[in-house]
Amino acid sequence: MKALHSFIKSRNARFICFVIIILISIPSRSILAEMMQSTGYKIESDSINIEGKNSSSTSYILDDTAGELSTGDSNSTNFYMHAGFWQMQESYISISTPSDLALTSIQGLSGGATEGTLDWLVKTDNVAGYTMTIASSTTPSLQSGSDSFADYAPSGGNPDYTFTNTAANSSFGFSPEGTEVTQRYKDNGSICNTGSSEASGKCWDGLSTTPKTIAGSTTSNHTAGNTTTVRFRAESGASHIQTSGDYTVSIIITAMTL
Amino acid sequence: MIKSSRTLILLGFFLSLTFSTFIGKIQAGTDGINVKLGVNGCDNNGICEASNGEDVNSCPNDCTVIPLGTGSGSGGGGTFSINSSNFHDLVIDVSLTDATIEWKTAMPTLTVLKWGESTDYVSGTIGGYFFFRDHKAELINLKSNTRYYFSISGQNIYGTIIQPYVGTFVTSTPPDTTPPSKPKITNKIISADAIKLTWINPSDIDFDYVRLMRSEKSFPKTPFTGKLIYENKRQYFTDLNVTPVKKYYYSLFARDKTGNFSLGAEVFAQMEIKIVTCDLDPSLCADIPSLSPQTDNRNIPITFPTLKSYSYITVPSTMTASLSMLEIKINSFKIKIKGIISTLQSFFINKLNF
Repeated sequence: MKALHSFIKSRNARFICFVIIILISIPSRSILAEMMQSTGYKIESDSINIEGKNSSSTSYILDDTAGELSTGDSNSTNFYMHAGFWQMQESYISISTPSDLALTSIQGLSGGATEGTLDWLVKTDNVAGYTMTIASSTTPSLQSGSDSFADYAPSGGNPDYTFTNTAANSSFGFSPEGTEVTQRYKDNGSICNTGSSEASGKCWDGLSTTPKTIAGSTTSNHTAGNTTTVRFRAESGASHIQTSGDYTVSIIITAMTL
Repeated sequence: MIKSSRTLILLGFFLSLTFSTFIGKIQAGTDGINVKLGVNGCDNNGICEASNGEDVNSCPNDCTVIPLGTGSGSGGGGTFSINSSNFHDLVIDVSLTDATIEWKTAMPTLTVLKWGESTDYVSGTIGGYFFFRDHKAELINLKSNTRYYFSISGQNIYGTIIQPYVGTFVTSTPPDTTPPSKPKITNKIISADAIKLTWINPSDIDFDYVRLMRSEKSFPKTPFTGKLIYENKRQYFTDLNVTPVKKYYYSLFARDKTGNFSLGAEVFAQMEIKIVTCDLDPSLCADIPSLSPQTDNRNIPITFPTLKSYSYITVPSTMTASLSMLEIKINSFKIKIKGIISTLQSFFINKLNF
């Protein structure tokens, strides 16, 4: 008994006790780091550690913490584990790559119209969702070496419910379709950016080199993802002479997590 | 030994702590997905491709041939569409109001030529009475600088109806004798050492350039009198070769591509000596060196302090009402200062104005 008392009073004993206390406290951190929520907000993840800081420079922002134990990514055949606070923040987004679209040829002398669609499948597990934009690489968008179609210009601020091209002009536009198109391309049956309908081949807009948001969501669509279809239409008026040739537009689609 | 173990334990503990970072939004995208469209029709490749819908009306650049004859004047020319193998060797000679069309047929053919300002061919018809291989038609009293469409149909000696020629030609343009509108002078800016004129060139479609003439006596009445100081398409000119006080008369003429000159747009300008009073804007005189006050307020001998771009003199404030008209002699030059002399305390004079 005296020997035990002597051991407890020794410095070595106090150090061992300190280590034991630290080790015992580790499970309690895990408990504190569980998801918390109230009526209006939800904390997806939190961390108790020894240090953390938000830093920034002109070009970069860095958020860091230090002190968690055994963090990092690991996986097995069937599982992928993101261990640690920041690892939990990781989300992914993917987008499919469709093949080029070859529209049916039209007559440049007598006029005509042609339409075709391209599909992009976006998958993300980001709980805040994503946004999807479209842009073209040139202005005007659809052009050949010697001529071009005018980028479709809606009559007002909103897309045109019906594609309209005068007899003396040619134009090229697009209409996004899908369950996650933005409000701008929804309609009430006659007017776009109003109502909640999403009719196929309606609500036409023009491409530009400035990206336009066409779809998105505020939740994860993991695992099935969501497909947004973009319908393209080129039309040459009956009294407009469109120089014959091969016209091309390069489409840039970007999906970004929110 | 125990102390060493303790160090290792602490080291291992802190090594087990990790340092992590987080990167914000991520994105995925596709770039370079092409939408392609083929347009058939007039490709302006010099070949009349009927399979693409090209004809003389929809694709005149391709469905034409250059006429062998040319008319007098300028701008005219004939064009043909050759879409029948039974007709050949077409020749057209176009003038201001006439056109002669010649063609040949493989075998003796009775032909009819119709023409008009549209494909209705309602202006006239010439029909042959005999079967010929060589044919010729003269069209007179046509409008100048006008596109005409014509059709040649025929029936050969075997009674076979020949697919008609259709073509078009443009009569010559009469010589241009109409001068362009004269330019509109919009502003003249007279500075210490230059006169800048700005104008608007005429909107005539055949406008070529402007010609700016200058005189010190009167306005130049033609584009070839006075001194030529500018000739081109710009819409302003700064005349640096000017002397103060002198009066300059400018006439600006527009020329078209034919060589016709417009009437002259006239404006005169005269260099002025500017006097800036310090009491109105003291900042203008911040760097003016002070001179000793002068006692003679009627004839003040003044020499320039320096001969820089600007030289300054300071007039003492005691020169008030008596300086209703002040004449300052500087070498051989004279300056008359007019204005409200009661408020004049100092001024500067640009030496270039002398």
